[in-house]
Amino acid sequence: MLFKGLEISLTGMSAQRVRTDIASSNLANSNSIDPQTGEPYRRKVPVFESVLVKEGEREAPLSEVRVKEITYDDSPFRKKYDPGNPLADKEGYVPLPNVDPLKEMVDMISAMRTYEANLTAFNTHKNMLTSSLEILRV
Amino acid sequence: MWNKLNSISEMATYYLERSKVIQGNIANADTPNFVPKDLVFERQLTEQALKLKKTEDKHIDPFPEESKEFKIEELNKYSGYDKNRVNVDEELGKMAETAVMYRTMVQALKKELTKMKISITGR
Repeated sequence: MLFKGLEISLTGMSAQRVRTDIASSNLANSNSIDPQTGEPYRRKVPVFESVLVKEGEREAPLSEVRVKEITYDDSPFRKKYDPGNPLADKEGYVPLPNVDPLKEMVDMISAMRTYEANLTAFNTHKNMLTSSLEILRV
Repeated sequence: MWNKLNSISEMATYYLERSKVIQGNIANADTPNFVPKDLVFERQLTEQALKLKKTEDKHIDPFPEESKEFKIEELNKYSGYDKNRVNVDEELGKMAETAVMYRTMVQALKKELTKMKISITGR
């Protein structure tokens, strides 16, 4: 269990990576419509959960993180007036994905910062482990 | 003779464990309903190094409540929109503090061992 600390930070990093992946998927599909159903792309949202790790006999419940599920944003679709579009309804409106590029960008920046925080914690812990090697040099 | 070494390494273990708990907090910075934890160290040193000797029953124990265990404590009472209470900056600060203290313990341990070596070899 010596490297548990590093593993914990790694789970945090991979969770944030999933978050950026989903944000970029949302951004890339901000104007997509499924050609078969005619339904626009629905915004995806990752939900995280913490997982308790017990370490041997010493009761130190540590928490890793993992992606619990990827849910869909239920907010209504955007509507655009475009009567010429074959997918337009009777009033001439075309439904477009409920993706707000601004939200996705903010989400991405937030994910990046948390990723960096995890990376810093990882490096700090690694340096701690390395510094304990100095005892051998007495 | 080994008391000092033991208490120093006990402290080093504490800082290493605490660092893991803090890393768990940082990893869960976006988990809904997550409550950050901290490892609290309660007078571990009094047990071995700093305890006063009782020569009479009437002497008062200066550190009455001793616990050998590290205690997990839940932090921060406020929360954001998703009921997550982690403050990443605070956690990173604690992480740096923990790392410095761990290094200090390692250096202290090294010093103790060097002293022993000197007393054995004479130089």
